[in-house]
Amino acid sequence: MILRRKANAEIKLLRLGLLARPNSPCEEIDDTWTHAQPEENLSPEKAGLALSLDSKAPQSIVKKRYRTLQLRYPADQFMEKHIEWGPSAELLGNPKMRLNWYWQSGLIPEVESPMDCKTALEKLCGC
Amino acid sequence: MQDPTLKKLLSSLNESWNSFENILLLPTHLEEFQPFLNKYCGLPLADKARSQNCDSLSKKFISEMSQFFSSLFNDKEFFKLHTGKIEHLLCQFEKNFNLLLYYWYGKNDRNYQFRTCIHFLNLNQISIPIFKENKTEFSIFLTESGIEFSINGSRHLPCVLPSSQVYGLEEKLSEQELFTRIRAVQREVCLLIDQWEYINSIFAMEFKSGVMHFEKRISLATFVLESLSDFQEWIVKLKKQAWNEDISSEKDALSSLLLSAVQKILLPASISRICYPVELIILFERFTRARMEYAPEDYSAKLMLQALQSAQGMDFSENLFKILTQKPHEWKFSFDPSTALKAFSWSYSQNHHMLLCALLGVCYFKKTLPKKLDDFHLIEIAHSLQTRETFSPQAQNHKVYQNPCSIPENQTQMLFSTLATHFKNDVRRSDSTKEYLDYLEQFLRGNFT
Repeated sequence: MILRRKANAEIKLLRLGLLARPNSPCEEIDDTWTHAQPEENLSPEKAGLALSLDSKAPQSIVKKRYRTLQLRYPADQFMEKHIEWGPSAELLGNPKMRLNWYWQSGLIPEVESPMDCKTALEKLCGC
Repeated sequence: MQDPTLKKLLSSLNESWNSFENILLLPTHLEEFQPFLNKYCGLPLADKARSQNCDSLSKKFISEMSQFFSSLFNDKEFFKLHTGKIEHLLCQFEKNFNLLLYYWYGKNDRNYQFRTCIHFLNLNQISIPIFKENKTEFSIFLTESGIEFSINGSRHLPCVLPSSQVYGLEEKLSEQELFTRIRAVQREVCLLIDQWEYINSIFAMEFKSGVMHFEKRISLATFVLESLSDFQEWIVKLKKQAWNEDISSEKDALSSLLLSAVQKILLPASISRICYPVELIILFERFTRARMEYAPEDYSAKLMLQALQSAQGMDFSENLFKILTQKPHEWKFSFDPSTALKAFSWSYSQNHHMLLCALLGVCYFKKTLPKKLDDFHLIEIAHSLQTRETFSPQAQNHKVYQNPCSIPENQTQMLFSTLATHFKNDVRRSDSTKEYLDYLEQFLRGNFT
């Protein structure tokens, strides 16, 4: 009973504009135009962070980690962790699959090159 | 090893690179550049109302470029050299310069490249004279793919040095360094694939308005293929030493990445029916040989090599028929060679083409045993067979060889009889595959007595 009276009072106050109205989702997101692929996603490292993937570890470390995880999460009890076609964060780390994943995922991150103009110029002058 | 004159030129370029970069950043002085950059997708704007600011900036750009190159080549001794030597040096310098332009981007925006400046200021195919000596005129042509040095107005496509030249592909590296370098090369190959797809999509868009870019595509393919071949030869050299597990797996990942890159370069030939010239075929052969050295049991590389050799008029190798008697663990099928077979099928004789497609079919069957062949594999075999007729005979570079064929009759009989048995036993018959099966059975009947 009390809750209903409180709700009615709130509605009256909202209608009178005396209570702050929460923003609708559209208002929160805002309608300014941005790039479809924001810069945060535009590198494999950042995409990996977003998916909590470690894309930098070498194969032997990944295998050790995989072994620990297999022991920690047996397949019969933790079925969702053993699905291979999703970016199951801990289990994806094979470099072949890593490279394949980024090209097939539809999220085409802009690959950062370690080479830039200045380094290339110095290299060409040096040799 | 490098020519001292070239080295001197490159070091003076290194010193004055900042002033060149300022020239390339000239468009940022105009307000209209930022909206142009936001909308830029590789194509020049069709009918751009040239503002006066833009025109004056173009003139300033040209004059500063002219000044820059004149001061770069200010050594009068350079132009007194023998003409052939000058041409050679200019070609080398052009390659290095265009590679730097490939890596350059301005204002932390990868969309702002040399191409963007040229399209914004509408300076495509503009020539800038730099020096005149005894009636020989040296000038530069600005194009969207780079800078072209020209003697007396002669034109060619801008050449680019393969990007492998800046990566220091040595074998004597510590493990940590090697690991980082393989990762860096992986990213470079991804960038090359990106560049290929980007430029090809621009060509496709321009093709719709009727503009063909045959030579530009060939020069881009040459650039990408040379880099890929260099990288592949590098990992062949690395393979000779025993590395730890991390590095081996990174090397394997790099080799599969290189394979997918080469498949992408074959696509315009196999899908859009473009006839690649012999220079590209030789480059493909170089890559395939390096691949075969890296993975000797790879049968798909052998098939691809045979297609490339047939495209140069050579005989059919009997090695390929070993697959009929080998056990399944003795050979590997690491990529789909049907793109390679389709891409070059126009240039060799019908006999070779049928043998290659038959071998492809046998590969598919042997690898899917004991399961039945998938529909898409069946369709691939039929398409590979058909592709030969779909190339237009009026296309550029269309030269068909009549290849000799020294395969003994019993081998071909064995091949076609194996194929016939597979078609009888290991194929799923359904409505969608009916027409393909009829076509293939006709093909077999025509060849098998």
